[in-house]
Amino acid sequence: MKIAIVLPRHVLGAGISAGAERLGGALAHQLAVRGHTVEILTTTALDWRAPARALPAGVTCEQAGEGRLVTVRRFAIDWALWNRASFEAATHQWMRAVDRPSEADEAMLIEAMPHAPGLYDFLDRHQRDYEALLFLPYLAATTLCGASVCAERAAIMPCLHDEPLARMGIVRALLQAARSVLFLTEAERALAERDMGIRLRRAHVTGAGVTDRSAEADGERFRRRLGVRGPIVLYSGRIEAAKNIYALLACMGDFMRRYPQHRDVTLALRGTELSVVTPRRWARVVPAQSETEYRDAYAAAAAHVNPSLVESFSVSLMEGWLAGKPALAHARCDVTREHVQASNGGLWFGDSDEFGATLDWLLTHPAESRRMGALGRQYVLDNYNWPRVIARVEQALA
Amino acid sequence: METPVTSSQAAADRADADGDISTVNSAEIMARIRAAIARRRAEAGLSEQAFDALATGAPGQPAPDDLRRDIERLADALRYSGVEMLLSDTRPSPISGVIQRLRAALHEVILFYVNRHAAQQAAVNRMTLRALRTALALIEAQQAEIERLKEGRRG
Repeated sequence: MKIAIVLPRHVLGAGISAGAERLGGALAHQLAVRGHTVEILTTTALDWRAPARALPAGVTCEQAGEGRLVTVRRFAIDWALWNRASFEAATHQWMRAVDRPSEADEAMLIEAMPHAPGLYDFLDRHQRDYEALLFLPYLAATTLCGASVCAERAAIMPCLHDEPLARMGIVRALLQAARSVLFLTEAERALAERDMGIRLRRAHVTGAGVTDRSAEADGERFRRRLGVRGPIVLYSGRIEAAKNIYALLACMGDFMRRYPQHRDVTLALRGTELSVVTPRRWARVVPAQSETEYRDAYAAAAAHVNPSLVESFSVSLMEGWLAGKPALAHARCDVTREHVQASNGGLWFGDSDEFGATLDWLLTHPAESRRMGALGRQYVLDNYNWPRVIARVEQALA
Repeated sequence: METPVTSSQAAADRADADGDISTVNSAEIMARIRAAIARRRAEAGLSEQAFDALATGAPGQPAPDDLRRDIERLADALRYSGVEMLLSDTRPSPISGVIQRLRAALHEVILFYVNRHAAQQAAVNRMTLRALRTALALIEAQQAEIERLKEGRRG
């Protein structure tokens, strides 16, 4: 099959911290290894906040493994059209709003996004060159405008979060028109079909693939980097308010006050600091460095925590489990809580008291915690190994 | 000081939640942990409602940390004031050099006035930022006072 995967940004390795874009790149490589002809259609952008760091437009090739290649076509962002201030203000406003944006606000938001007009033109002229066109994630101009160009041929992996922007009219229209919609979890599918009332032509729950490289990890290396001896509770991902980081810090602060016997515990926040974290004795921000280093971080951790309320899959949860560590998820996030319930790979918390009690339980039950980590690991290996995920994706794209 | 969960209390909570390791069941452990918390709250005469505390960052409920982040973003945005010249290439023709020079001159005149206006606006923005930082400091002081009073009530 000749497949195009359309992504807002793409770069090999750990250069992009957004999970959906990393997943799109990995899907392209895995599909190529399976023998498909795969092209990534993307923009020149690397970092929305730094247009000067853009990559050159044009066509390049990437080694996907087993001698297979993935073609990458990059289309220039028209930075002159982009209104950064208006885009940031709009996304910030709607991420925190209660109601969905009006049609006028929706149009303003889409207009303020960074656009690559050459990509839309290419899709218009060449859509029939591909047997399948897969767009992800939903909140990107490449999906909202790119998939609009070829709505009935498009397959969309929306990576939906329960947020007002997901309820925009254009998202509903695109998902209803799409040839196929690929969800990462049953909870995400329920959000679209049950909560948002979207009638889909074809829906599949494919999950996302995770590669097990935990054997290469060295926890001691991470401890040396941090200079920490006591137990580490790890958060890995973008360090920003949208991921409920401030609630995690508040809960951890309460925990440190209320459980003085655990005064040697450190909360390590590993990732790109997009929201300000004021210094605390028990919290350390660890800027993301490399692929090896994040595996070291999981190997060093006593437990990993994901406080986010808006997840469509949570690769970080899977990576923590591959390292054999128990998870703490937020009770109000259906996606992560259902993973934990299904695997018995950890516990969940709905308030600060529960956070304290569950973390205390994990730290004082090392044998049970190890067992939870092992169950989580088995859950990932059974459900989210690449061959199984790719088979589901092939079925959805066929 | 907030009342710490003592080792014996924690041990009691854990004993309630302990189970057979070979059959680790997250839902059962959660049920026991929640029962222990409810019991502890009831013994202390505290209502359930007071502890639904993960509102930070939730829709419609801005908190000081959100405000602090907004202010930092505003400060960050202020560094980007001013407009630079942006000229795309013209289609090659015998007079394209002249056209390009004319366009550059026109752009420079526009930029002169736009940047003058931007400088004025930047001064207003800096004053707004200073006022917001003062407001944040006040809110944080009030929040600390509320925490102190809450701890006094618990203690």
